[in-house]
Amino acid sequence: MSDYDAVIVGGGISGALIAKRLSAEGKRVLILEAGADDGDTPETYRAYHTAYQLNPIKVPNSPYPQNPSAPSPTVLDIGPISPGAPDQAGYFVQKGPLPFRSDYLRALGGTTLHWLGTCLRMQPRDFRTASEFGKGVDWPLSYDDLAPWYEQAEWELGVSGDKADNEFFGIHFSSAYDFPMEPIPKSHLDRWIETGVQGMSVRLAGGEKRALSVAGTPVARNSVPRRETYTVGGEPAGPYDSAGATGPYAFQGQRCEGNSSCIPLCPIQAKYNALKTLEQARRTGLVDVITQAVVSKVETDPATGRITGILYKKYAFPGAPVWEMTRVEGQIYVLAANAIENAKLALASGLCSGSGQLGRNLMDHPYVNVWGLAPVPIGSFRGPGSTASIPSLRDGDFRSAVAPVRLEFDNWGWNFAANAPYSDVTRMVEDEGLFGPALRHRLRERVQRQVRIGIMPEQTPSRHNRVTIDPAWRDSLGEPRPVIEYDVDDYSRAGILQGIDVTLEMFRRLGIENHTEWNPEDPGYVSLGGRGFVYFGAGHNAGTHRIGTCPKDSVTGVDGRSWEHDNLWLVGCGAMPTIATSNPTLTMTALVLKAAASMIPALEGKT
Amino acid sequence: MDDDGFATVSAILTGYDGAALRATGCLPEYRRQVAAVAGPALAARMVAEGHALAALPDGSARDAHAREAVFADPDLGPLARSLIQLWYLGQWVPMPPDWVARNGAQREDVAHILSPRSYREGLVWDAIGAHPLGAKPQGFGAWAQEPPAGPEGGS
Amino acid sequence: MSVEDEREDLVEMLRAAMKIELTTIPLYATTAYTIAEVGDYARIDPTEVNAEPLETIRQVMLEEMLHLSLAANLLNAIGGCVVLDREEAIPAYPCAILPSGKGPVAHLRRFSKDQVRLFREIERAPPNFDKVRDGNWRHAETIGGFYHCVDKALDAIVEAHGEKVVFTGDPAWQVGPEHYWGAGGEMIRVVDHDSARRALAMIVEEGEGADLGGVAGDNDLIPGSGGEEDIAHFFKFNQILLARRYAPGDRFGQPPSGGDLVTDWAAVHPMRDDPTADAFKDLPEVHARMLAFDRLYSDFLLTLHSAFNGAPDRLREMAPTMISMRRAAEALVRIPVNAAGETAGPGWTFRH
Repeated sequence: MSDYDAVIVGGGISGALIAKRLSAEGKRVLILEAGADDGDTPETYRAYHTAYQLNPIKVPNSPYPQNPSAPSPTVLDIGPISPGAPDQAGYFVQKGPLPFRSDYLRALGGTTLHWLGTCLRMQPRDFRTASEFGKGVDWPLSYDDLAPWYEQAEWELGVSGDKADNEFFGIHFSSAYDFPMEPIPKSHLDRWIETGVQGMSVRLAGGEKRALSVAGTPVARNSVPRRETYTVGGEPAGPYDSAGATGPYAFQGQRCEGNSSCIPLCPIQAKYNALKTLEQARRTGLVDVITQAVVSKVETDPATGRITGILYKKYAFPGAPVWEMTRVEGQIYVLAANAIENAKLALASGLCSGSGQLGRNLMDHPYVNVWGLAPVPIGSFRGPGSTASIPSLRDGDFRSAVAPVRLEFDNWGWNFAANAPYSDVTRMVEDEGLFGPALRHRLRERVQRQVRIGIMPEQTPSRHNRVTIDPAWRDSLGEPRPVIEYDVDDYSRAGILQGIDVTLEMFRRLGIENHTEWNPEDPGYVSLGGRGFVYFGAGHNAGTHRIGTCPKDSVTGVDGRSWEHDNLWLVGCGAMPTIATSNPTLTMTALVLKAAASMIPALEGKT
Repeated sequence: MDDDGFATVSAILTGYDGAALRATGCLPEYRRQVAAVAGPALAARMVAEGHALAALPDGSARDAHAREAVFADPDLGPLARSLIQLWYLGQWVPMPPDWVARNGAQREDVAHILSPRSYREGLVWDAIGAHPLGAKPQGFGAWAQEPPAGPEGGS
Repeated sequence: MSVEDEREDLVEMLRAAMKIELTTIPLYATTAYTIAEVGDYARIDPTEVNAEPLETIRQVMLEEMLHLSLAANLLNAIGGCVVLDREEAIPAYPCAILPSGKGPVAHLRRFSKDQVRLFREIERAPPNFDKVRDGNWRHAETIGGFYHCVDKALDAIVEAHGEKVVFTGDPAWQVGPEHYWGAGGEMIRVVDHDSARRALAMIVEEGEGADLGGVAGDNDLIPGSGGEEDIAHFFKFNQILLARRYAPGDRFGQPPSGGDLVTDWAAVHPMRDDPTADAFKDLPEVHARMLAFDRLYSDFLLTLHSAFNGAPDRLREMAPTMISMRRAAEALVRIPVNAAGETAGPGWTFRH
């Protein structure tokens, strides 16, 4: 007799959603979370906020305590890599040739604590890039197959959006459906650019002329709930009931207040995080969550391939030198951690080795900043990090030669690009000798005009971009550290350059003075055809255990069920065969909900 | 160095009036920080220069005096620049090595954000017409409004 | 009485209702903003304690905004006209909450046990309705009693003349959930007797829970909480004094059964009682800030006035406006104005 119907590894968004879906069907679920539950109460969640304010370096993981027992990578870890000398400064062991610059968070709620909340659908042609463009692989399902799950995903996460604004490149919505909440208003900057680029066309690779347009970004951030009823994934739903903060502060975060810190932390939880879904799941009384439980091994019956149990190390407090090894059993098992952690654990347990794809095809969006000064104040440093983008370069026949990109507008000036406004103050006081009213006026005059555009290219799957493990490198609990090999190919670089060219053309039209500087000494500096730029990570870690139609070239079937281990599912962004130009969480959520639906009949012995 | 003296010199250096500085709630905390690093003699000089500057009319005469008597001074200059950054960013910028060689090392003279409040009350956010990232939100949809009007004279 | 006489009386009553609701907003807001925030007062190890009372009072204040808008809907529905652009319509502190002049007197004061006791008194359900049995709202001594009169008057006019004659207002002037969306209770469009009664019930239940048999719950489900019920204002204030949260099923007169609600009564900015700009003329910088606050408040009232007079969309602008007022008030209560360390504070004076 098993302890649980399902044992889930990872207390982030995927694990929480599956726990919610399974417990709604009366199944008993255990979630094992490697990290601590520091944000689980209002008091401790607030401590994240305090830590953020006191931390002089404000990066995505700044609010969250470093946990030596379940370390997280941070974007500050990145150092130089040379052949034979991997960068081991942080949690990752980076073999290069280029650094993988993204992070994630190992804590209850996972990386959704510091995500931006962007919820873009993929475009129909994104699902078949091999047949359309000879790039990447085709998905085992189409846009239309996934559409009902997209609808459910948008309602699970609480997405604010406008259908009409997002119908491009074949993306379509059912007429009986709408986003659960009205769109988040576009920022003043968005509308200023939108007006400025009206009627503007650019010449793309291959010669096509393309008009530029601006689209508001659908986002899992509370705005005003729609009062109507709709058909969502085939079921009637609505009016929508938005979820604010967890615990006794449910009144907070019912609507975004413009804290302008979605990354790294929404102080009022108006932005979706997995703690909300965990709370909903736990209300059933059927879901147990054990934190500070690092899964060490998934055990297999060699005869049948079935998973027989999970061994985890329970540590008493972060940094504790000892742990207790515990074994737990379930009917089914779900690896629901970050793409890199899922691959690491599956590799360490000797799972899913048949296709040779496990750990491979690691993808991200190598993200490039372009920034400048607008001729007029544009209201920087107000509102959610990004509220709109230019989708115009996300699809087209050029994709056979050049990667598609999304051009994302940033509402926080040069904060990401140049650590504004800190760097502005330091420069004006230390170097320019400004003080008094002159300093005030100069700051207003400069910072109010700061514009930044982020270029987000598709990165195609490569067998050489991969996660492995090596007994030589272990963490403090003796668990393997992810060893990463990563590169950015010419296809993505060409797409980035096309994005840079279009952005600069737009700058000229809008009268924005280009201030972009890419330091050749930066570890993310790369070039193509003599033109260099610096890429960052987007935190969109994907692709290490892709779904597919055939056990030879994929790790699981379309529902995330392992080809080789009948009662094992691998879910999360790792499941994605390609990453397209959309932030992956919404597509991942749709896949997770589809996977959860396939677990119910399996648990009832029907499949 | 008392709160009033500290407020006077701070107002001249930051461009914010005394009420605005007190309204941050950070004035006593910042005075203690500056006093601890400067020591009594230098703190007294700083305040005296503040009063001298306040007595001058706003404009080029005051600017010239500030540059000569404060910013060009090897002891007062670094202190004044750190004081401005303390008010604007809520964090202390340590004194340069030659200053420390002359005036001695103080244990308070390390780079740090003084408190969550000092982060939130950094004048830079008001100066740029915004609000601190992650605090003092402006309300739903505020980001869609016109950019703020230029800074006002007094506060 | 003719329908027009009755209507006039009801209009007057609902204007008084709006003034009652409006009186509580600055009152609760001022006190809330004197509470030192998280991390505001402990330099090394920021204590978390005072976020709870601050958030509790702020929630009540936001619900009073809802009540103000519901009262405006009622007034507009019966063909009355909202007036918020004249000094007479705006409370000047200190002042009685009720038109009778009896009952609690509103003072703008810093956060203290006495002040929270005052709030609790304001939201206390009347022990019985005897004193208002004559139905004269001018004699009411509690808010519950006052609304009891409104309810009776509404019933009477509808019974005597019929819904169609009573509810003559332009439905386009009604504030709906799409204009006002926060939390704790829903905006109700008033177009007939039924919606009018629901609007009145919303105000009363959220306040003291009078009609609900003395339980803490106010019948409103907290959005997204999985069906958890909110509790009435009286209980919200009482839980601060008792340092423990009420559960929705707890009853009046019995101790609350929820978790701890800890308050640091010392972590408060010592605002001078009932501050007004005029009292600070000798401190020009402070005086200028006090006047600037009054301008913000006046703009807020004028925006409300226009929203309730045919432009309900303008309510959507209110969130940024209310937050600017909060920031300005929080700044004022940190400025010391005398040797004793007392501070300035928002005066809430309408200046047109």
